[in-house]
Amino acid sequence: MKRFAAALAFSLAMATPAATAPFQTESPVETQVREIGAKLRCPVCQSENILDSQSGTAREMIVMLREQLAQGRTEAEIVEYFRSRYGDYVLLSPPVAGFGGIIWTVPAVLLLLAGGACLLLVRRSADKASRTNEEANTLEPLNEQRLRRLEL
Amino acid sequence: MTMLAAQKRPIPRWKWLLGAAVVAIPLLLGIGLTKDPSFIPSMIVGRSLPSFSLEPLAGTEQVASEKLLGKPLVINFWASWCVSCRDEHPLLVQLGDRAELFDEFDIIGINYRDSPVAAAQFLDRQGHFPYPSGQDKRGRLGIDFGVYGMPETFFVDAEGVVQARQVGPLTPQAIEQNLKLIGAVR
Repeated sequence: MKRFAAALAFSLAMATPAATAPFQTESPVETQVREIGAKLRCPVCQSENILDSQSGTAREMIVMLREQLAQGRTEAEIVEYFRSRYGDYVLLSPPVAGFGGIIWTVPAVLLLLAGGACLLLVRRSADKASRTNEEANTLEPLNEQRLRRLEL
Repeated sequence: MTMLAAQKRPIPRWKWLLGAAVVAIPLLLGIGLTKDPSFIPSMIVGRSLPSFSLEPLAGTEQVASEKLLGKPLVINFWASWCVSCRDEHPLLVQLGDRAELFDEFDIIGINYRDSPVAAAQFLDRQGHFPYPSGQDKRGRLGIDFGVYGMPETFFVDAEGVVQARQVGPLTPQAIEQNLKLIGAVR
């Protein structure tokens, strides 16, 4: 038992670091470069971030990003730097404030409206079904008035 | 449906709404399709010119923004690899001659992300500009100007404020209109 416990402890000690540590340690700056780079849109391509883009402008932007991080600039400052040159276009996800807000809210509002409409329709048709059932089960003669009610 | 019901029933409101949506959505999509998705509105128009000092393509004198203040200025980004730069080339040469002759404005070129050898060959073939060009080898000044397509031309007034940007080849109309804007036409 003691032997087993020792073996277990040993294998656990061996297993844990292997599972969590990356194969190659990346410098925190590079992680940040990738994080920020993934949010910035390449201005000379369409819908591609500057990390994926092969264009010269995008590659230069990565170099600038790295330089600015090395100078100790924050993510917000760097994003603002590119935004002041290319506008909101350079952001892959539009800002929530201002015009970008419309882009974020309209789908949610539409979804709510559509959900409400569905609910209303289902309820209405259920009402109608129960009404027609009642109608069908009476012994009242089928006159013009009843016929109109049935139609509705 | 019987005749009886068909005569009396009004069109329900939701049908009107549905009809409106069926018309409006394709209409909006249609309008969207006529727009150029790669167009980026300029951020520099209305702002002051970024300062720069670039190595010249020919000669020894730096192409610097400091020396160009106090007079309306035209800045043209060009490259030998840019096909539509050939289209506007004769107009730029004319514009350079005009700047020299009437002294109403200055004009400079920025050779963007190009090799000096390829740029020189391009000028030998197309004709030399009567004004200097600075080298923006890595495109950093281009990023400062928010350049995304070649060619691009910026029109700066005497106070150093960028008043207009033309993306794509210049036309005689665009030149006249923008020169007026920067007070370069008497």
